[in-house]
Amino acid sequence: MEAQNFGHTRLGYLLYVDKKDDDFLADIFDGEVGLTAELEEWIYSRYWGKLMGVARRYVPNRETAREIVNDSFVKAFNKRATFKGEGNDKKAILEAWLVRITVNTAIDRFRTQRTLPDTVAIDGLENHPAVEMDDTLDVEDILQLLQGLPDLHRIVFNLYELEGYSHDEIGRLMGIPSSSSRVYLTKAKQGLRALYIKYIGGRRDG
Amino acid sequence: MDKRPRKELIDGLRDSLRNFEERYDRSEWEHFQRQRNKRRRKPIPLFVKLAGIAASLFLMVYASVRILPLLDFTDDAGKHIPSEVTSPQKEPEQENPDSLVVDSIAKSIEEEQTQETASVSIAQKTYSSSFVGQIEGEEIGSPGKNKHPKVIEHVELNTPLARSVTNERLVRTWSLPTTPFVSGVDRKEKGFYRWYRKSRGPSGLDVGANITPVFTDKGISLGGGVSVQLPLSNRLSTEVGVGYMGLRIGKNFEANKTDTVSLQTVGVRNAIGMVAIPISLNYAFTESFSGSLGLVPFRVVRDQRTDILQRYRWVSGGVLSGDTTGRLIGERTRMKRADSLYMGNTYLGFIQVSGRYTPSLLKKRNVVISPFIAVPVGRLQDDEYRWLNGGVSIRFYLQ
Repeated sequence: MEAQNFGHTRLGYLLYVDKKDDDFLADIFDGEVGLTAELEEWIYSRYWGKLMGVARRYVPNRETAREIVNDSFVKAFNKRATFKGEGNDKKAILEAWLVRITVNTAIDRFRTQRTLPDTVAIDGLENHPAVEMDDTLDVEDILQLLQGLPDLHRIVFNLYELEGYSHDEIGRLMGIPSSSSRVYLTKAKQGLRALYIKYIGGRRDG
Repeated sequence: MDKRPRKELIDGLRDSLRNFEERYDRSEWEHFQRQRNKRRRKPIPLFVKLAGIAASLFLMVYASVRILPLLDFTDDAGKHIPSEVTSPQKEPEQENPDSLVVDSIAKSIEEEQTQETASVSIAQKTYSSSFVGQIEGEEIGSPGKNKHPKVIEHVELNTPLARSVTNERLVRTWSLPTTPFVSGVDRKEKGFYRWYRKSRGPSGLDVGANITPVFTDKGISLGGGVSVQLPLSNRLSTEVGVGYMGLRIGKNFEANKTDTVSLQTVGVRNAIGMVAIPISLNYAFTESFSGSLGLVPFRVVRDQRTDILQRYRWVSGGVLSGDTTGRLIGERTRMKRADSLYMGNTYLGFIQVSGRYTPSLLKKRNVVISPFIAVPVGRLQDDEYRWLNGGVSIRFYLQ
């Protein structure tokens, strides 16, 4: 009976409150409910932070990362019919779908601006087999380290270590042999260690 | 010294970045909307592209059908010259201009009681010269002989006008052989219709307007627009237009009758307003009946959503009435609001098949009744709502 207190003009909000977020999101992407501007904003506000975190791993510039995230949302809103929310954890499935769109958007942007892979800079760095990291290290510092890598190395590192792609998948996605993907990953790790020692390790050790 | 255990760098980076999220600020949503709207404006819409293609095709057809034949000029000119040149000469007054002038002057002379001398000299001079002064000086000479100055003046002023009409007709015949001469009927036409008749000229374009009620499985809407029809041959014609069309689409949902607490959405309706550019090809089977096949691309300019909400509740007659039977009743309300589901989108639209019938009673009014059915194509084909529609378009043509 509490529902009557809201009156019919606020019904939409009432229904949304009654439903679990995950079910509601799955309903939207299953096409049961039309995607209104209000619902778009709801999804945007919920996932913007996550997608921004993903995008910033791929592109050094924060403004470029924002553009990638916004492009990804436009794609997601336009192609919501292709999303199928099957499975128990619909929130995770939806998040994975959005992250995948963001990664692809970032790689597409990289492709359009792509030049020859720059491996010269990293080759000159000293090889460090293992480096311990201070767990108080700030995320912004970590992003700075990533941005110190050549584009292709950074992307391969992200795809393999953070998105869970295999070298074969990376090879297909980036249009490079899978053996090259392995090499780029090794060089990326080597570069990160070298950059850490050079800029952060030395700073913290005094 | 920091005694905390440390992770290997790569593992530590992975863990930190995997859970990294930026803090959301509402200004980001506004920025997103601005960016999206800006990008929507950048590419040339499908709507404009189709209009451009339609206009190009229209111009090509127009040029090939109407303008190119006009360049074949010699034959037309040859047909017209003899008849137009000879006919004025056969007219009695043109064959013997002297008699005309003499007759007309004679009446005046009779009134003035002076006949032959003046009329003959005037007639001769009228044919050779157009200056009153010359006539007076050379032929009539002395003031004493010139007894009819008014009559002379009258003849001299009228003669060049008669000649100019004849000459003008000849000139027009040469320059625009297919243009009909301005008739007495045309002179009586006034206002817009006269302008239309003039502007229509030899092109054969028929300008029309239409009113179109449209039916879908979710209701009726109204549309209308203007169009231009160009005949391609005796039976074929093409038509392109622009118009506004309304359409009601939607979906119904099953209500849960066991839920007597919450309002349930049992239906959604979207009232769509669209600007369309219909392009069609018409084939006339008979004088009164023709068929048409066309494409109707459109852009959505209005999207109004109505949610149909229903609540079930149990009611009884009450103790005083003695009826204590419980009844389940449903109450419906409607909630309207602007929607962005289709708003601003451009679609390939519909394939439209129609028949066109002109009842004999309405033939003089140039009214065509056109029942049609429009089948969605492109993205609309797979849309969650059913876009199939039909109706009867009532079309008026200026002919």
